[in-house]
Amino acid sequence: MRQKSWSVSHLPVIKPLGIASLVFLYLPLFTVLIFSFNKSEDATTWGGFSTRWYSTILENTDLIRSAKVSLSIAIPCALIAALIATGLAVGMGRATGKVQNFLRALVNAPLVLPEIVTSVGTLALFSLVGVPLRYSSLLFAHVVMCVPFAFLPIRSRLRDFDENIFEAARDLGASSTRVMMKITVPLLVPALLSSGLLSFIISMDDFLTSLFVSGPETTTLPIYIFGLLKLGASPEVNVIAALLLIIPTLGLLVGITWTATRRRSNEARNK
Amino acid sequence: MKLRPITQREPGIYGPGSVALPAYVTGILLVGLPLIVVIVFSFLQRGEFGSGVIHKFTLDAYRTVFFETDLMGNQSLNFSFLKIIFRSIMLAFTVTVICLIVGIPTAIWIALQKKSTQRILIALVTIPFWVNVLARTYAWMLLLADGGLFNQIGAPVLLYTSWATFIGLTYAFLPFMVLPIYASAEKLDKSILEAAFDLGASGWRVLIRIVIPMIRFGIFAGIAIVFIPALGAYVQPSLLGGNKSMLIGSLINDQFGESRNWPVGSALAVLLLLMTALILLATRRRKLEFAS
Amino acid sequence: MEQEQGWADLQINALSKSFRDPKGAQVHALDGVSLSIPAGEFIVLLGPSGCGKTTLLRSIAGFEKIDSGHINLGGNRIDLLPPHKRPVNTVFQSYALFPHMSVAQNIAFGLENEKIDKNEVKARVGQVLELVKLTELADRKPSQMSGGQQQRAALARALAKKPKVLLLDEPLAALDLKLRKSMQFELKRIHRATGTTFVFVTHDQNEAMALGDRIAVFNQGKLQQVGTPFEIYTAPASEFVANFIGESTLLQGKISGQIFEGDGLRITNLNQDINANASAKLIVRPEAFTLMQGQTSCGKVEIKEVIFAGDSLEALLVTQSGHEVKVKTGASLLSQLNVGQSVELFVDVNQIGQIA
Repeated sequence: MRQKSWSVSHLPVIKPLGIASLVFLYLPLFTVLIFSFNKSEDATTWGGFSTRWYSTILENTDLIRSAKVSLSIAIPCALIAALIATGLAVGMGRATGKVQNFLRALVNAPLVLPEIVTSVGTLALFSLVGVPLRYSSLLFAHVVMCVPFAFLPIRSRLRDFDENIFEAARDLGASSTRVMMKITVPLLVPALLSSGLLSFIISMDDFLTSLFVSGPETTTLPIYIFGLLKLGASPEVNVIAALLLIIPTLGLLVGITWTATRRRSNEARNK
Repeated sequence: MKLRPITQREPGIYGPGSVALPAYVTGILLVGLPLIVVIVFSFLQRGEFGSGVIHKFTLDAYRTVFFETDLMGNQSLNFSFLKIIFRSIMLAFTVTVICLIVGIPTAIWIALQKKSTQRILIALVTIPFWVNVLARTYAWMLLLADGGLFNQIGAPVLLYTSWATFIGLTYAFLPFMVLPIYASAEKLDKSILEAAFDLGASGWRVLIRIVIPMIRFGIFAGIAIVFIPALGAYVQPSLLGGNKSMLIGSLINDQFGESRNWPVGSALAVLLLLMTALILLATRRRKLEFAS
Repeated sequence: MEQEQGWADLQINALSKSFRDPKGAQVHALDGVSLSIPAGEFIVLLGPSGCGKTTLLRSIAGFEKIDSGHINLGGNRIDLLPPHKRPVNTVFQSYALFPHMSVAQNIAFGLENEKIDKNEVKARVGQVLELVKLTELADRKPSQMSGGQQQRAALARALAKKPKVLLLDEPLAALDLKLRKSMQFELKRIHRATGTTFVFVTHDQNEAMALGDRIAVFNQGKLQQVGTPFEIYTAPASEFVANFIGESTLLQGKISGQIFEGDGLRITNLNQDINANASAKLIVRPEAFTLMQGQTSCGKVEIKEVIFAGDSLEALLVTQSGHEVKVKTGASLLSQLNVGQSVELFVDVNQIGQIA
């Protein structure tokens, strides 16, 4: 599609404000990135280039321990959330019944509710029922939070397909289980990857739910970092923040390039 | 063979309907039930040792939120809590308005680029959203601190003031505003803009009379998904705002933590829930109005 | 391919189905439709969009739940069976090929559902691929094929199941005109080769004429008329059918003693099968009228518009009472006809139809 050059330039304010928001979004990120290579002991004053603070964090055993806790939650959480979300998307199909709509809204509620409400609710429920605040309780709290996000890519991928494909499979004699195993799930593979990745990132990043539902042995990375941040800026936190910025961004870039190449090769093939 | 009537548009078009059960069970047990428990707790008595609750019905929690009793036993409005609630609403409102003012033009600007440029710009807007919220908040600590970069070039120290909270929340939620608006602006038929210009409309008129009405659903969605989390925010206020200008999120956290008054914390959570429901209803009702 | 499962007539009995439109109003998609389709027939369900033809097809396939009535196939009731238990298969308008499978895998899918021996599956996939002339493309994915090739693959996939009835839902609608024409011949050939009953849905009257042994015309959920293309064209049962299939002029008036009078025209010597009636309705196709001498005269008309269509002239005429008449006549008259001129109109009385 050819872009008409007038459309952007003739609408007032959109270009300067658009550029301003990008600057606003990236200025803080680049600041953190640059200052993570600061030689100075003072977190906010530039004292020359150095990677010295990167090596110190490798020796921070509390940081490493909390990162391990986070990973040990996020990996199973991603798998379970993607599975549950797939079940929801597949099993619910295109049903529009009142009961199904209500249940789906309930599952998706963490998307719209303030996290503080759901997290104190979970804490209150656990204490009422007497669930100890251990690894598994935290894992389940994370899964519940991730399912609605994991659901999004799966549902949108299912909607992209011609509904007739699934009817055709039934028409050709496949039972609903066979439709799922042979048609639906194979078609969902790319969406499953993104839904797992999404859940992984959300679980790794989560602070509030973990704050309420974690016990002493389950101090996650964000809880540990929050404690550090309460103390103010420091060269070490600069590095940690920079890493929290670099790692997901690299992951995202790899993902974007991967889908872009796939799209391009698909387009090329279709020609 | 036994005949079983088929159902129309079977739910299980993609597979057996029963595979949705785990999601339904988690939804009921871990989303629905906690909300009910919070509502129930808000009507119970405070636990004896501060933690938990005593299973006895009372309106004490709500009374504590709204009123205070002085030494003489007179009840008056509890301004310390009400102020915090009011401050939270005003802050969330301001953040939403600023996000709208910046987000709408940004989304339109992106939607009017070439397809390939659009993809890059949307990725750029999305990336900060995937960076850990603590890291993003910390970046502003670095910029706004005493002796921080802004201070070094002569700006006043904003860290640990409401201004810092405001900046941090706007920063966190701007992508939330841009993405849904972009999603509707991107579907906009560009020839409609051409037609409007062709009929002699000025740029401002096209923007206000044509573009914004056509992307209103994206705007409503953006308002809801910025206002709601901004209202209940915890991380930015407690890291950037210090504790001088407390907000409802920190207050709830306090009641479940240091203050050890779970019923009051629950009552505050219920209030937050009610405000959320109001916003969702408001943004949804407007959708219906326009649809008819 | 021979019919292994034997011949089976399809009986549709008083089928009704209604649903609510988005505004909540009741819509009758099927309103007491009965239709009997003998085994091996190529029947076309024809009608405008929303007339119920697709709903009927989907009801036979099992994708729509019907409100009342039943469907029998070879004497067995099938309307309560789920789609995958019915011995009928569908060719979808969108082809609905599984994008992650090759053509051969698509075709084999349906056979594997029946737990058929692997070698048998292979043999049958080979057979149908040959039937639709796709043998060379067996390993292609749907996205690597043209629309026409995908169409053949979808046909092969459905036929591989050896259905008693093959349902085709506007399968040619997405193809361009030239390809559509050649696919029509292909479909006829494949129908003859397999001997399967074909139930074909379309809104295109020319396609219906070209393909159908019989055509069933639908409107607003009701079956209007069933008959061979010739019957439907020459003796439409209603004004709707007459207008939907080809062009026609409706004349209203009085018939007595084999003479029609009305709408400013007078037609004598009517056929014996036209009934006397004080308020009769006659349907006349444009080519039954002529402006050349020879047939029965109808009276004087004025020329309102003349269009040269290459092999013929299409003229819009007005009778003395102001009624419009459409005429298709010989192109040789072009130089003699002028707008505004008064001419004599003739008609072939054997081609006049009567409707109730």
